[in-house]
Amino acid sequence: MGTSFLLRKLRQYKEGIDSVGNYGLPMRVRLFIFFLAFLLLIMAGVLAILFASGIFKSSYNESYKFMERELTSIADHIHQDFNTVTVHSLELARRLTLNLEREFLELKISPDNLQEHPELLEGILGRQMSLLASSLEQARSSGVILILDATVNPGLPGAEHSKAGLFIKNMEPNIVSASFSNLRFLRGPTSVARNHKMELLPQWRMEFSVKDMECFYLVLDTAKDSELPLSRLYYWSHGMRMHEDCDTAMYCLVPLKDSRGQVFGVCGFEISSMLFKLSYSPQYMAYHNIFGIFSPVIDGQMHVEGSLLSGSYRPVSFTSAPLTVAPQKDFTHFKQEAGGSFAGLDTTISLYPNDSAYQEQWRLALLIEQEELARILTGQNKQLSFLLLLLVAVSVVVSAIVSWGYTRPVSKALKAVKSRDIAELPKTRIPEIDDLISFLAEQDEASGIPSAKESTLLQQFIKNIESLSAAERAVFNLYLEGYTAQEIANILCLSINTIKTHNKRIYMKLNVSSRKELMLYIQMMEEAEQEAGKKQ
Amino acid sequence: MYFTKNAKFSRRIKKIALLLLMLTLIFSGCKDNGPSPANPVTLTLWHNFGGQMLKTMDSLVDEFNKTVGRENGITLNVTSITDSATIKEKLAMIAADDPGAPEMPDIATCYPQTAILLESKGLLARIDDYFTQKELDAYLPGFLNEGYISDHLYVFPFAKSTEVLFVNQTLFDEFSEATGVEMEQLATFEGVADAARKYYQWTDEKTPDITGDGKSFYKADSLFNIAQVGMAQLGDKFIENKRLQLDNENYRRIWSFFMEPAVKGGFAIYPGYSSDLSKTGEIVCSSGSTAGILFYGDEITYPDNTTRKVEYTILPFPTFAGGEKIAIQRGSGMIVAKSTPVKERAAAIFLKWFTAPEQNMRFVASTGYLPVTHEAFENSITKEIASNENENIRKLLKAAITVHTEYDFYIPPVFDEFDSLSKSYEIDIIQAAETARNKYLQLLESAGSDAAYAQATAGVYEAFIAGR
Repeated sequence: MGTSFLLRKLRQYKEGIDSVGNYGLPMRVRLFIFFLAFLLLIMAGVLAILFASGIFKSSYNESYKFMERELTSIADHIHQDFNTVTVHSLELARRLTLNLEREFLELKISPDNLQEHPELLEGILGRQMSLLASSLEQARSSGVILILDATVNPGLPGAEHSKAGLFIKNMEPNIVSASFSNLRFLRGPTSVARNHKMELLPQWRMEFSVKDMECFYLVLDTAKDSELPLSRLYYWSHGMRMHEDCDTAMYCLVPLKDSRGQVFGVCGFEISSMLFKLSYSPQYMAYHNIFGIFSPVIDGQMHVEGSLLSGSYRPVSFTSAPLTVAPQKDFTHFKQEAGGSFAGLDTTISLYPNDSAYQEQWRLALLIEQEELARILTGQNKQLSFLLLLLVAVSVVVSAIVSWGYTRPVSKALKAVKSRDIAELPKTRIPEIDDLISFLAEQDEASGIPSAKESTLLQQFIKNIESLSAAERAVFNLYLEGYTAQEIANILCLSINTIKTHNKRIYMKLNVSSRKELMLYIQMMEEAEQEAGKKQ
Repeated sequence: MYFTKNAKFSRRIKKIALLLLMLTLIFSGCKDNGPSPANPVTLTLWHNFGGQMLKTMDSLVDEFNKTVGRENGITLNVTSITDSATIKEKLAMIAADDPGAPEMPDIATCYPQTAILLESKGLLARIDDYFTQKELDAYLPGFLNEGYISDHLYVFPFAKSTEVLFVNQTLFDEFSEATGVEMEQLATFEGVADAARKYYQWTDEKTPDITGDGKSFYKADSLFNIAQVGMAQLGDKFIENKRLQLDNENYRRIWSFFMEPAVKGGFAIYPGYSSDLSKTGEIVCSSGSTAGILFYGDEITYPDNTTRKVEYTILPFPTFAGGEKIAIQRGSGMIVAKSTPVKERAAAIFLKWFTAPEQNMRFVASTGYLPVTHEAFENSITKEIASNENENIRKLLKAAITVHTEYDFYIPPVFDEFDSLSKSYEIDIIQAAETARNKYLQLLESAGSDAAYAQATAGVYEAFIAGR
């Protein structure tokens, strides 16, 4: 109903515009154009201000600032937390080395022939359990490890890669609770776990399999060949799985090197992928699909396989292939071979001192899919453009409604003036129009033009003339010619009484009450005839 | 008169204004209370499917995020993977508003007992508000009913378990060959106790020079569950008016079933899971949740780090001789945190997807849980038994079907103190057995086995039930 009404009105406007050449613009169209031009001018001004204030680029700037701020904040946290874990690892290594040197002395063995006494390993490890557990409870870490360069059973196949040790996991490193223990046993002799009333994890194994743990050999070998202090010999492993059913994690490994320089194992703390995710995820309130990657840099590329990830979202296109980094003017472009394209920002995080034995570079990047970023940026501008368009549409409608509403009573009044009795038109409550109507009514009255009522009575009067008899008609005609009653009696040779009788009948038939009234009608007839003569 | 049409004009104006308002609302993104790509939500999830189950859970979460989640603007973010006891503790901390308590996750695996605490604090969403009756009818009523608290569904079943008997077939065969003990006798608890006595004796005799170094045969993951189900099997009630019914003949029978082999050495006295002992070959059989199957693995490791490949057989839950076939129904459900309608609806979308037969069977087929819908239980499970690559899972599903068809399920009661009641029972009975065992070993030096047992356990039962 509303739509058909609008269409009808639009058609009327079109007709109005079409007829411009013939009659000029109708009042309603003029007003509509005036309003529209006014509103559009205001709109153009607003648009110009928006452009000048850079609002159409604000979403882009905002995204860049948000990501830059997030990157800086997360990078600071990682740097600080990883440094703290490094300090804890070094302290643990010092204390373990001290303990174990004392043990070796008491047991009268040397670290380099530890493997020759596998029967002692369980006891040695058991006595380090308390230190490891208490160190883990103090560090913000998901696990602590101690790996000795020895195995309980050197005669087994593959024993060269099986190493005795302990691995305790903190199931909830983010939760501080004294009411229960979150520590679980992942590697080591079961007797050690039972003595400390610690439950085994389902992934429990007796010993570490270091066959694929290149970092274990790297740390041992580097420490053996180096004179650097312990604080220059720790190593942060790449993100890796200790075993296929274990979580991906990074390990801060510190060599166990006695006072004589003999290296007999490693120890350190773990940062699991879950702990990393919980600690270093971007705040994705506005940017839902942003994620972080902390990765070693190999040959200029970010090594995804050795990285830890944060954020809740992982795009389908993100694979384990290395990320090529291509800095741009603003957002950096990240590309994976046969994988996705990402936009984001990155920064270098130093995990080692300048004079460390290791100088591996680590980078932190916050990424978002290229298409996703474009969608967010254009989406925000689209919304703004849509709102502006909506405002234009509303302006058109408002202009149409206001102009229509304004001119409607005027048009109606003008139409009525043409077809009706002006004096009887009701008040429009538009002073100018009511003034005009009063003016026209007065003009009418002044010009003597009979009113519609008078005109009707005159017509009835003329019609009644036809009902007069021949004698009465003769008398009436003489009245028309302006004769008096006496003169008519003389002309018609009738007595004055006979004339009076005719008069009575004439008055009755013509529905007048006096001669004066009769004469008024006669005057009106004459004026009407004169008017008709003028028109002809 | 024509000016009286002003009222009609006003009505038209109002209609146009209303139309404009509606258009503005539609285009300005005024949404209903559901998630969408334009109105995305991230849900945090805590679950206890670590270890071997992690891969399955990860792939399901990943698939949800990439399919249904993406379509609906929902991202599931796993923020805690730990064992169910730790999750329970964390949720209890949240319910108690303890200092250091973590933030309540949007979805978490949870037992009804913990859900009661959370619900009493108004922290849980009513899940049934987001399901139609037809949708709820697709789930097995027994599994669904367990999650109702105060007439509303708060704990949604996604996978259930029962208890079965895990038998290390490799070790048992050696024992059976030497002693003639048959697998069939493990159908009753008395049979298990008898086999345990014989196993301890057999292993003790392997080292004639050392006496009393026999090995344990059996370990129950939950002695509390054995007491609950055992009493039900014997036609009695273990818990009545929130109190344990211990001073009766039927319970005394259950007590003796455990205490004698435990003190004499046939049953392991160990507070942890039986799979810990199974992995090191220290026991031959154990009763525990079907979901524990993956924790057993396929090898045992000895203290010298040598390993041995073994096979497991899975038997239905034993019964007390003469008792009815009853097994426990257990397993956590998923709770949804009370939040915004958008988040609650998003969580319901995930639960519907996760428990649809296809996803449910994928989860079940790699974890040892039971499916929760009629469709999955009645049709899909048989196909899974035929096609699953993991032999232990196949065996387990067969045992689960046997339990489901031949057994009645016992559903533990739900009340506030249930957890503390079961925990203290478990700790105290193990403590009592350990103390008696140590005393028994000392007495063995001067007395025979039966006399030492009688002396070591004198008054232990009475002390245990006193004040409980």
